Amino acid sequence: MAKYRDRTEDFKDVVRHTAVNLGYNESKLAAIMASFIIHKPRERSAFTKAALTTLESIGALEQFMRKHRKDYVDPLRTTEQERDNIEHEVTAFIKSCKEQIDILQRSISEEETNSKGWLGVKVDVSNADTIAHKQGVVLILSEKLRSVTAQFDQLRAIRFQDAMSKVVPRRKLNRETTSIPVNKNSITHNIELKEPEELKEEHLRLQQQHLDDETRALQIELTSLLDAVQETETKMVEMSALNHLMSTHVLQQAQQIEHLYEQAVEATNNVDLGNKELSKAIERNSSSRTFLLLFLFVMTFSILFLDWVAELEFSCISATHKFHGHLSARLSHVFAREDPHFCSIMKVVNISFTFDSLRIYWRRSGATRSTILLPKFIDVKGGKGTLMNVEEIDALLTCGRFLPPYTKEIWP
Amino acid sequence: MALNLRQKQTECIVRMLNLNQPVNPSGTANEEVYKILIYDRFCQNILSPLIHVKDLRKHGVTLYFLIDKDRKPVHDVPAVYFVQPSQVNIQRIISDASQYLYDSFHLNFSFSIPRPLLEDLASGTLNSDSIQRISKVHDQYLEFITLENNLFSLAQSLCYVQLNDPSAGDRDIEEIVERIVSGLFSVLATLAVVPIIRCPRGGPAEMVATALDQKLRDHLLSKNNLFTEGGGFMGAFQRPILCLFDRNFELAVGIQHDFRYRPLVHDVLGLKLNRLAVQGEKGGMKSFELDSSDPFWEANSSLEFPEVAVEIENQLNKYKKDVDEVNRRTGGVEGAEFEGADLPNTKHLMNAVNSLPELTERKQVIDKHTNIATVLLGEIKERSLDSYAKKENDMMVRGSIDHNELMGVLRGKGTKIDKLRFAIIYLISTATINQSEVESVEAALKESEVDTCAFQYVKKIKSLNVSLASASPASRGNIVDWAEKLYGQSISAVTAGVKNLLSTDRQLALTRTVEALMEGKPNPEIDPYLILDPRAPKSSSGASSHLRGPFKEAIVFMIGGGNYVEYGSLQELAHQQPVRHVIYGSTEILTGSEFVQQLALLGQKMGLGNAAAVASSNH
Repeated sequence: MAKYRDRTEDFKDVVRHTAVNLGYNESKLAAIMASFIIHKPRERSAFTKAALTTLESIGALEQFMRKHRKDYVDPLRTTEQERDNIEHEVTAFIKSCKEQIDILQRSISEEETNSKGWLGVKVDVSNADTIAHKQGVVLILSEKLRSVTAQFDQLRAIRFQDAMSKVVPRRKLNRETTSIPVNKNSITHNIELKEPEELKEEHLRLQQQHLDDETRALQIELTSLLDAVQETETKMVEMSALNHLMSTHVLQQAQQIEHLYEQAVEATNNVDLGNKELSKAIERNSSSRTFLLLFLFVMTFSILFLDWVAELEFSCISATHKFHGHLSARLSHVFAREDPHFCSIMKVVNISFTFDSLRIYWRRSGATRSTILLPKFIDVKGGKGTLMNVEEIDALLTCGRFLPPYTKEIWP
Repeated sequence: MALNLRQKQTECIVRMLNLNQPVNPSGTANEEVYKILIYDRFCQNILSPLIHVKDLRKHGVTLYFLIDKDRKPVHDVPAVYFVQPSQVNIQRIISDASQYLYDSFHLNFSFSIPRPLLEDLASGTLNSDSIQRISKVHDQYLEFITLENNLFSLAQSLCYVQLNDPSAGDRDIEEIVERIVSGLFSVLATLAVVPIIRCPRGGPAEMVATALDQKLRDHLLSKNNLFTEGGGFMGAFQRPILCLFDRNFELAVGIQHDFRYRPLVHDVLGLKLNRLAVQGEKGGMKSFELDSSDPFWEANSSLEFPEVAVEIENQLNKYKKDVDEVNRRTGGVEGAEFEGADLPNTKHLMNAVNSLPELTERKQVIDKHTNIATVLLGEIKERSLDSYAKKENDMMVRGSIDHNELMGVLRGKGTKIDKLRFAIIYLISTATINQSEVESVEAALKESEVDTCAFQYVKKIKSLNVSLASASPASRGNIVDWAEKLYGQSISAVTAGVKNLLSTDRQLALTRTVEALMEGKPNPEIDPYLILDPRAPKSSSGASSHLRGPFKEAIVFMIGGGNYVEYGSLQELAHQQPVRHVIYGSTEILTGSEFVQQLALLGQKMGLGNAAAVASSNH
């Protein structure tokens, strides 16, 4: 046996020294030392208690099996009936253990959902590690139970094999035993036949022979029936053995199938979710397409519009040149009417149209007071694009809407 | 009393998991059935080759964590700590205890915890008022990693560099020796034997030997020591021999290529802690475990690679045949079977159902090895490792090589490291250094952009110490000697010996020496070796006859990095007549390229070669 060294005593020693160094008083020191010797009996949680009892019952099951192992396997010790009883008892036992484990499992899953619901509030009672620990406990228990049941399965397999091998020789044996009496009977009859008797006796003998024939026929029938029954029995035993074998495997497969089923359900859920997402995406795609179409449409028209405006402006400007002279004459006229003092000074330098105004730049020539030529402008509001017409400008200027409001400010 | 290291260490671990209570036959009927296991990185490495996660559960371990992981409190359960005695771990334990993570703490240290650390633990837990939660403190003496039944490693990296570092001070060296000694002490304590120590004079081996001798002596003085039970009067007759060697004793083995399965897997695919990650067919990494639970690995790992491939093929064919057999018996193809004998038919069905798990298991093993072999084959073809292995072997046996052949290899296929290793083997194997030839080799190495630090280092060492080359020319002569010696013995020994010579071509110097040491006959080669007996009184000079053997059991320890080649060679020795038992250990298990990197590091430290090229040589 390999070695290790218990250093707990050393540790206690060190603790005492350290405690003294830290200035603990006698009673406190004593309390600490006492805590080493007498460990506080820990109060166990309900879960641990339940797990321990389950473990105990599995242990008891194992012991029970060990005790009855010989009885069960050895065909000379017990009758079939007793064996069936053992089997029944063990099955019930296993079932109850399984139930206990299921209860534990359920309590864990409940706890898990609870802890999820109470996010953060109940962290100290059941955190991820604790749940993992409990899962581990359940796993250990179920593994243990499985190993015990596997042992029992082996025993059962042995029993069935015994039963099967026992049936075969018995059948042969029975055949021999049944055939021998028949022969004996016939021999005795033969002996009887040989005795010379009278007619009455002859009759009697015939009757007897008839009866004997009947008995023989009956015997043969019964033997064949017995054979059939035995054959059926062996077949039944085989069937049950196979059934049992299949059932364990089917059970395994059932678990696997369950697992598969769960996964399939999950997969369908995922597919559903995916479909939803896809349809959403399609929706978004189509709406974005209409939006895009609209956008393109609008942009096309705006480009067309801009093009039209640019053309318009161009035509405006080209139009202005035509009535340049006319306009300057009209302006001079208007100014002369408003302010005769400046009548002869106007010379239109530039005219520009925008959407909502007409700008006319002019220069004052032959100024009497100032020699500086000031570029000035006039805004005409509300014209909106139709101003290219010479007649309209004319009307505008003449109708009196056009009054330079700043004349007085600039020219005092 | 076979020394089964793996089994003994597993026993220790199991006992530790059962809170150091005696394991009762009915499993764990102990009150504390469920517990949490907490370990650090080093101890994880100890645990992982020994015990499967599934088996941990058998011993009631519900959860297992690394110590530096963020853990949440779990009440109502004891925690088993298995950690190295270090300051960091102690602090972590104190903080765990003060946060009341678990109800009770069972502390197990991988080696004896020194007093100051114990004091820290005491004051820390006293201050946080959590001292009552520390329920047990144990020293486990388990500071080594058992990889196989007869193979262990101390997992102390870069040992060769540290021991041969020209700039290392006395204190550094002492520290390393101390670490090695404590690891070896753990091994001996686990085996519960006090061996007779033999080692060559001079160098690190002698330092370790004397230090270990001293440590064992000190320990044996105390009354209730670790060896009292195991070393009863039985042990007086059958004490094993502990042979200590330094890597410089036979440098070439650490560098050369080998063509057997286990060294190949280790060298090419990087077997680590019995685990292996291989590039799968579809790009994903596949991870395999190669240990004693794999019957194919156990049986064939010491064969040459082509034989292994054949063996895999055989196994596959056998498997197919068995599957066919099952199908034929149970399948409904031949309906005739139903009519006559339905009884055998049902029996067949049952047999088939029962044999299916076994068959699938076999199939898995075959698949695993097919995968590994495919990857290996790819590497071998790409790097033409077979020719490397063959030519290196030739060189070692003949002690020389044709110049053209040498240059051909250096310009041919293979990675940079392969070429470097070949060049170093050339340097070691040739008895006399031909200056112009060495220069041309160097030029060829530089041509293929190989970092020549390691080459330069070996050259320098060789020129300083010619006896380093003891491996090759000596071995040539020795094999002849050896054969003669065998012929002098009985006929059966001769045949065994010849077979051995044929199968291995060449015995390693290490194996030869170990065999001689175990036989204990007068031999000029081993007579100057130091003999130390920790049990004997110090005054006696230790020349008594029983110290010289013969021995049935040996522990061979290589200071400064061992490898699977040596392990395989020693296991071959163990299976010869007479049957012996050899345990092999080392400070760490190194592949050829890892060892060459250590040499390169040394070369740099000595200021040889160009430092910049090291980074590029790493692959």
